Amino acid sequence: MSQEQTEQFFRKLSFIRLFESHLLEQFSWGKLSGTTHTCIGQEANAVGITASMGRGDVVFSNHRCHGHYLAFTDDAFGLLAEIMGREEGVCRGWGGSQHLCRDGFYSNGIQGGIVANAVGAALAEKHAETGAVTTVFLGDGTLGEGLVYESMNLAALWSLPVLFVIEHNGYAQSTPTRLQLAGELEARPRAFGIPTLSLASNDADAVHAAVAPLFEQIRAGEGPRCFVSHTYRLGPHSKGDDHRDPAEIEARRTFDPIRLYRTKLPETRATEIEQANQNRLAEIVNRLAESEGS
Amino acid sequence: MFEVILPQLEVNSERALLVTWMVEKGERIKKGQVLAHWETAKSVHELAAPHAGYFFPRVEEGDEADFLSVIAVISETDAEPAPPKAPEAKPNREAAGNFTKKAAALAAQNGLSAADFDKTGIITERDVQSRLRQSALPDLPKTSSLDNLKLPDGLTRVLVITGGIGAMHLIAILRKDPRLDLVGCLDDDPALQDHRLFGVPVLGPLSLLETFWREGRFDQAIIGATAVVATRQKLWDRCKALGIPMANAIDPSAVLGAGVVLGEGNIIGAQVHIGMATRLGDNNFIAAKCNIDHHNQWGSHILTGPGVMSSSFVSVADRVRFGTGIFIEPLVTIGAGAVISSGALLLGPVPADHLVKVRVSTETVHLKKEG
Amino acid sequence: MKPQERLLVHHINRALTRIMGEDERVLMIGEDLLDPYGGAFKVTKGLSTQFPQRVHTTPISEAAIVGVATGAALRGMRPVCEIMFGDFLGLAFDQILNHATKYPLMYAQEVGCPITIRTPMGGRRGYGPTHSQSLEKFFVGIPGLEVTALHRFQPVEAFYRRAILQRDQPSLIIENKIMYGQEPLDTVARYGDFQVRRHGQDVVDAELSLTDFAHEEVTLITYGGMTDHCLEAARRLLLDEEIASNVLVLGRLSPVQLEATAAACARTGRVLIAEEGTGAWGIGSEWAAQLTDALWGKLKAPIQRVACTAPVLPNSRALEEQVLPSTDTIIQAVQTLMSRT
Repeated sequence: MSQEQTEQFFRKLSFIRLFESHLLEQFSWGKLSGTTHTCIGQEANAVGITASMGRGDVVFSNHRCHGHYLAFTDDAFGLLAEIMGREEGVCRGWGGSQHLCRDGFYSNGIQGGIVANAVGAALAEKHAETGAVTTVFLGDGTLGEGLVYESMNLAALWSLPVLFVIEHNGYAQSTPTRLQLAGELEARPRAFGIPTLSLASNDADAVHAAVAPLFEQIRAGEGPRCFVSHTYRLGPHSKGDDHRDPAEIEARRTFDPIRLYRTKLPETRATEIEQANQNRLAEIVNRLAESEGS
Repeated sequence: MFEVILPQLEVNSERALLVTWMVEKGERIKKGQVLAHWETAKSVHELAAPHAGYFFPRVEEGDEADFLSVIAVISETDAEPAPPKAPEAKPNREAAGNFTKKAAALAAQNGLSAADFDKTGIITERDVQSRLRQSALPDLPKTSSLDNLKLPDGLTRVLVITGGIGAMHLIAILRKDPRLDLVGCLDDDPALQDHRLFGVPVLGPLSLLETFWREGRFDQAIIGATAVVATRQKLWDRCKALGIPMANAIDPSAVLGAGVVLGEGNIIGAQVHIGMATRLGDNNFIAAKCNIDHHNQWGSHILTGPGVMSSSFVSVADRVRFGTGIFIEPLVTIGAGAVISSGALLLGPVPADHLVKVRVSTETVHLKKEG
Repeated sequence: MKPQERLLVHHINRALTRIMGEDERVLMIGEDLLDPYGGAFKVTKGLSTQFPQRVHTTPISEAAIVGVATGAALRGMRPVCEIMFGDFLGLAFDQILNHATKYPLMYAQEVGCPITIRTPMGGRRGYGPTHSQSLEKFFVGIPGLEVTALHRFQPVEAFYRRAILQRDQPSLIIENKIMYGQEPLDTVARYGDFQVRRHGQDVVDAELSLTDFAHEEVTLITYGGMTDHCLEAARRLLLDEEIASNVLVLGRLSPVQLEATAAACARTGRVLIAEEGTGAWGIGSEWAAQLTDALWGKLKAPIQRVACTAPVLPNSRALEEQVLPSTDTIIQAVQTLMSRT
């Protein structure tokens, strides 16, 4: 990893965390409409995986999509405006937190359906011979949806350029994995003959190192791949709905992806980047405040 | 003889195409031998002979057959079996020239057939009515109704047949016509013999009719009986059997419109109005104050009471009997032999030999309470 | 042309062949599509031979069929899904409701999702409770979905071309399965004793009359598979009872566009709507509500509806005939219409 890339990773990781924390705060003050699902604790996947993507690649994401969106598009203004229900939002206030679309990024709040859509997108890219990889993010909770398996079956049958990313954060909303998932998680994609790589790390560099070869294999026409990330959601499912044992969460803070990554930079540089992120967010918040009611 | 049925070769189709027969007509075949190749949307199927025998096809190559229909027969002999009887023709609406039921009745009444209509689809009652309207105009006679009266040079000698009240009515009209010479009346009623009705003598019983005609004692006759349709028609038939021309008796106060066509032997009462282009047959009795409006088609031997108001384009068939004070809407048709009670309001057609009853709710009550 | 190639199924097949030949973005996705089978009703027969790269036969995965098509459509393809029986469309309901139609709407930008879903509906083949239904009423309420019903008077190629190539939003095409084996009447000006008029382009409403399009007393409105029953009812009503009617066969079920229909109904003031599916919350419910609004003051009797009378379609052909709307039930409903004031 070059120093430049490390700084870039940290800039993204730190910004996503800042953005999501801001949302939770704004939510408390009643500034956001509806609900929101933050990805606090899972930022390493967003940053580590999107780092392998290039122009023309496609992303399908789910209800917990802010990190993926920010890492892929860097459009913080459009996202915040959207979540605040503003006309300047990326979907002009119609889509909101869970329904974003920009430059090949699509998200939807319905569980499982996007997996089929991602496979279809991969089919289109294959027909058009663009060389693009379509990545679909799903969680362990979504593995309860049958369409996930119909979609994996088709992707494997048709050898489509699609990467399934399963962010296994241990909970389906409030239900722990042991109450909602039988058998072995990785055995599912493997049953369809999809090569599956499993990683238990919140280190964005490790995620990137693991996933980059998968992108290469997919781009080489080897068919679909699956990446399973064993991670942890440090924040609530949405807001004020966390009934997990605080001790369990606290124990996981050791593996906080931001805290882990911060140590890779000199303290002063890390602080500079954090300050720059805060300035950036403040500027966006101000712009939105200024244009409000105008 | 064994009938070969085309099996249901495929569940999502209803018929198949015969690609080729694999055997010749009249050929002796074995059971299980391939008879034909059938094509469905799905694929080509071989059809094996279900029986041994002599083969006779019922379907041509290149034709389609419905599943479960007979496509060939296998006979015990090499003589070709008789072709199947054509299914009995079901009663077919098209056979009636595609008339609706009502249109068919109206057309028949007016002697129209499908050929009279310049139309490809179904002929409706409205079409027939429209056709009748059209036909009324171009067929207008070139002469007026007055010209149509049979008026030889000099006076016409008229014999009145029967001499009851109807005859008096008739004579009262005929006397107003200066061109007529009323020869006398014939009536079987002994009480009337040797009497005069308004100065016209009763000459004797009806049996004298033939003799008087043979002897040339009158030029025309007219029937005075106005109560019973059957009587009036019987007398008419008797006259016509002798070839007697019949006179029309038209009260001078009657108004006949342009193009009215009258037959013979009609009695038209006082203040009757007959509208333009109306046609009246023979031997009708139209009582006073009747209105037969324009473009009516009335048949023969029709009797009316006074005040029958028929609107335009009404058709009345033969031998219809009207009561008094009847209103008939335009385009109504009345079938032969119908009887219409007094006070009726006819909005729709009356079939032949039907009686139109009128429910009367009139009640007469005493104006002063008793005691 | 072989006699069999005259049928509607072959016309659809030829239309799809031409459309696929013209535009490389068109994909066929569905179950059992490959030759020699060529789809359960043979609509796609020959396509996989002619366009082997673009005809995708799938596992029995209706949700995935529509879901994959949706994703491909988002990325610029113009997929056509075949759902083998309309009854199976329930399996793909969420994909239609929350994905294919939602993307263009909820992203509030120029995101197209041009998928076409074709599916056969309807009974009278004895296929029983789960292969005979007319379920379109469950889909016409989905915003952003155009639902059209093929009928015999509809020019076939224009109909499919519009959905597949000319629209950017999802389309659901209902093909009544009885029609596959009938001959199209897409260009005729007369059908038997009926005169045929067509309204609209590409998706056509047909108006038929035995008389003159002026003096009818009743308007029968229907779509798809009930067409022949309505026409026969109109014929018998005229022949036997001198009741003249015009029959409107609508091509578009949703979004509802009834302006021309309302104008035709205004002439008669008596309206009957016939549909093959169950009646409650049916196609006719919405049509009747909108027509009542448009025709208020001009209706001579309440709008009558005729629909399937049983909650489930029996397998027995005899029982099925009893519960599906027939010529007789339409005639009876018209008699009711005529007797009410």
